[in-house]
Order: sequence, then structure tokens, then C-alpha cells
Amino acid sequence: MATGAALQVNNMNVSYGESRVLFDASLTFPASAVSVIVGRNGAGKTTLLKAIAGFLKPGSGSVVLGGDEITGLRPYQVVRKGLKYIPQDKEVFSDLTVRENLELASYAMKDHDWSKVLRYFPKLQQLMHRKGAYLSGGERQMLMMGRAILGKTHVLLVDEPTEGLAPSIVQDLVAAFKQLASHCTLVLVEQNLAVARELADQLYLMKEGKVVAHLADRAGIESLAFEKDL
Amino acid sequence: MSVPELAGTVVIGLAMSAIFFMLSVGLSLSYGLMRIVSLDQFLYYSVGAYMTYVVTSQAGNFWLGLLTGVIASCTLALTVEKSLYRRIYEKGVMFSMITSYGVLLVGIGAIKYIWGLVPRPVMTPIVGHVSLLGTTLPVYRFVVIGLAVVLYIGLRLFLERTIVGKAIRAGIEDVDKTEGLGIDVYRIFTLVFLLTAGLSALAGGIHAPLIMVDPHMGLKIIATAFMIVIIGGLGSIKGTVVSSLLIGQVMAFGFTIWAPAAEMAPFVIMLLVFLIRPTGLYGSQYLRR
Ligand SMILES: Nc1ncnc2c1ncn2[C@@H]1O[C@H](COP(=O)(O)OP(=O)(O)O)[C@@H](O)[C@H]1O
Ligand SMILES: [Mg+2]
Repeated sequence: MATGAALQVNNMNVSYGESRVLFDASLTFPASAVSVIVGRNGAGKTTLLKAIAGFLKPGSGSVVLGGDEITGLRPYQVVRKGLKYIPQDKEVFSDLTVRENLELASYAMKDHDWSKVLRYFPKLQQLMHRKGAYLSGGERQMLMMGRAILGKTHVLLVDEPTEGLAPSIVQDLVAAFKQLASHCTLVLVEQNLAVARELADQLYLMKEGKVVAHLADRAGIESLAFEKDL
Repeated sequence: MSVPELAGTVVIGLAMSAIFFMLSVGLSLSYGLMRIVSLDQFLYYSVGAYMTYVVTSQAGNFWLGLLTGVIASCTLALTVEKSLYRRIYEKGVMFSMITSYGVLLVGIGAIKYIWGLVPRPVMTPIVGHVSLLGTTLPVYRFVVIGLAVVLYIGLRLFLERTIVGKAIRAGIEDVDKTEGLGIDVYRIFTLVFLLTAGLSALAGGIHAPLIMVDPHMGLKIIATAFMIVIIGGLGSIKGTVVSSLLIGQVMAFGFTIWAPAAEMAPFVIMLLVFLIRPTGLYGSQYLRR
């Protein structure tokens, strides 16, 4: 993709029934940059990602992917346009093996070349025949990311990838994100501020359904502290 | 109970199980994947039986009748799926129950209008008998059992070996995550709906020579079919097989021992299963929503 915004969210409002949880959220994600969204539990980060990916219908607002308006598309159409969303819950299909999980993504995206997946996540190679139910949290996160990078991938939205993982696995993931960043635009929701600081080219801070700060300079990102800012 | 009587009862029970299986497995898959209770399947069951009746009596070919029934039912089911279900998939089980019950009633009305209220006999396609343990049994019952076995194996292979089958299994676990991979889940829904309708029609056509076809045949079998789905565990094929076998035998032995028991016993079994396993025999812990 050319320079400029890979993904743009304009004045997004989202409600669950009567209760409104996202207020006029506007965010810009530059191509080939790592953007990190931080904020306390309940700030609306997951809601924002789900609405971008088409799993929630925004009351108003628009989503533009590389110049194409994708608001209101069904989730599978959004995926086929190259915007992938990796949910927070770290659940893969428990009754399907790692291989079958990858096969489904290959089938959907018509990309049967797994070399890229195994380059980023070599550990998956040994787990091909294991069922999803028997994978660790870190392995499931790697499988979800592996599935997501098959086929056209312009933007990867990842919701709290390091949550609940051991520090060594977190380091593996951070390394993988650094490599991935040169191939696609990354949007991470991250509560682990050390990880956020290490990866972020720019950072959005959300509070009670609103975007309250945007830090695009190193100094600003480095100075972010949990107690003070979140 | 003498040995010949026992053998005869077991075989009759197995043939009933075979038909119950064909009728229930699709219902179970449809609920597992789309979270619908598709009562219109019992219309496709009836249409399958009536088409078999028409073609058998007009053209003298039962198997051609069976095929006609499957094609007619799938065509009807495709129309219903595209025009009605597409609008209600996201609305919850109650919507699909009421809507599909409406479709079933309209269909039964049409059947009454075309063929009248009188039950119609369908000629058994295979008239031979075989001797088994001192009793003679119609070959057709064995053919019915064999067909169900073939269908079961075919279905298992389809779900385990093909990519679409894997997508169905994934969807039964989590539809949103399946769509999140880029799979158009509504296409998979349509396919499973048609598969279910085809199986219902097949069950109706195959059942026809063993009973008589009548406009209410679909209504009469609803409770048994759903009981089997529930006992087996929603969304589980293995569960449907086991509970079909169980209920077939219970009903067959009920009829031989004391007729009223045949109607009552399956419900007792259902309650017993629920006391032990509220999710049914093979109900998945992964099934949500
Ligand atoms: N399905 C839902 N129905 C109603 N309210 C919800 C639902 N999901 C989340 N919420 C509410 O929306 C707000 C934002 O939630 P969420 O987007 O999950 O926040 P975050 O990911 O930042 O922790 C919270 O107040 C939460 O309780
Ligand atoms: Mg969240």
C-alpha cells in the first residue's frame, strides 16, 4: 500500500442496545506503522475493533481501508479485503487440529502457501496434528496470527495479544510483531505498557468510550505511565 | 420372548432407527450451526414421501420416486431458505420455530388440497424375504438399515475430510470466528439447510412403504425426531446415531411387549438421560449462545 493512512475510523458511535459505549471515535492508522491503543478495562477498545471488523454495526461513522469505504460490510467481506481481526479470547477451533485451522484460513483466502506462517511462527510446525483444545495460550495466539496472515493482509487488528502469557512467550510475540510490522499495518490493543512502549510508532489512549489522547512522538510514548495516564 | 420374536423385533427397531437417524441428523446439524429449529423439515419429509408415492404408482419406479422427492424438497427448501431464513438467522430460535411451523402448516394444507385426506399405500420396492434366527423378515428392512449406515459413513467422511465439512464443524463451534477467517458462513448455512432437507425427503420416501403416506405424517413424527436430537446432544452426529438406535429399540420392544409403552418409553428415556447428562449424550460443552 502507498504511504498515508492504511485505515481510518471517522466519528464512530457504537451502542449495545440502549447503552452507548463508543463516542465519536476518530483514529488514523498510517501504513506500515505500529499503532497501539491503550486504556482501562471497559474503555471500549474491543468494541472499537469489533466495529471496524464488521462484527458490530456502528450507529454512525465510517471505516475507510486504504481509500475504500468498508462500513457495513459483512465480516467475511472485510477479511477478504485484507483487514484481519484477532479477538481477545485466544480461542481457536478446539475440535480442529492446527493443520485444519490453517486449512480453513487457506480455503477462505485462497492462499495455500504456509511458508510465511511457519517463518513467523516456527513452533506451529511441530503442533500440526494437535487439536486446538490442547494448545497453550501462547500457541493459540500464534495460530490465530498465523491464520490471519494468509492471503492478502493489509491491516492486522490484534486485541490484547499478550494478556495472560508468560514473559518469555510475550518476548516471542513482540519479536514476531516487529517482523510483521514491515509487511503490514499493525493495530494492537495492549494493556502491557512495556510492550506498548517497545512497539508503538503511535499511541491512542481511550477512556470511557472516547479517544482522549494521541501520542505520535517517541518522547510522549516513552513517558506514558499506567497510574498517571490510564 | 422367543428367539425368532426377539430377532424380528431388533430388526424392526433397527429399521426405525435408520429412518429416525436420517430425519434427525440434519436437524441436529442445523441447530448446531445455524441455531434454528427447522420445523419445515417435516414438510420435506412429507414431500419426499408423496413424490415417492406419485412416481411409484405412476411410473412404477420407487427409486426414481425417491430421487424426485429429494430434488423437489431441495428446490422447495432452497426457496424457503433464501426468502425466509436469511431474514431470521440472527433473530433467535423462537423466530425460526414459529416461521417454520407456518411453512409446515401451509405445506400440509397444499398436500391435502392436491392429494386429499386419505392415506395412500406405497409399494415396497423389494418384495423378497430373508430367514433369520427362525423368522422371516422383509429384505426391504435390511436395505433401509444399510442405507442409513452408508449415509452415516458418507456424512462422517464429508465432515472430517472435506474443507467444507471442516468449515461446518468450525461453525458449530463458533460462527463468528469462522466468518472471521473470511468464510461466507451464509453459504455454508444454505448448504447445511439443503443437506438437511435432502435427508428429510429421503427419510420420508424410504419410510413410505413401511407406513402409509398421509398429510399429517410430518406432524406425527416431530416429537420423536426432536427427542432423538436432544437425547443425542445438539450438533452431535455420533449422539444422533446412538439415540436413534436407542429409541428405535425402545419403540420396537414397546410395541411387542405392551403397545402403550412404545409411545411413553422414549420420553422416560429422555428424562433419564437428562438426569445424568443435561446436555444430552454427546452434547458439546463448546456449544454456546
Ligand atoms: N455485548 C455487550 N453488551 C453490552 N455491553 C457491553 C457488551 N460488550 C461490552 N460492553 C460494555 O461496553 C463497554 C466497553 O467494553 P469493551 O469494548 O469490551 O472494553 P475494553 O475492551 O476496552 O475493555 C464496557 O462498559 C462493557 O461493559
Ligand atoms: Mg477488551
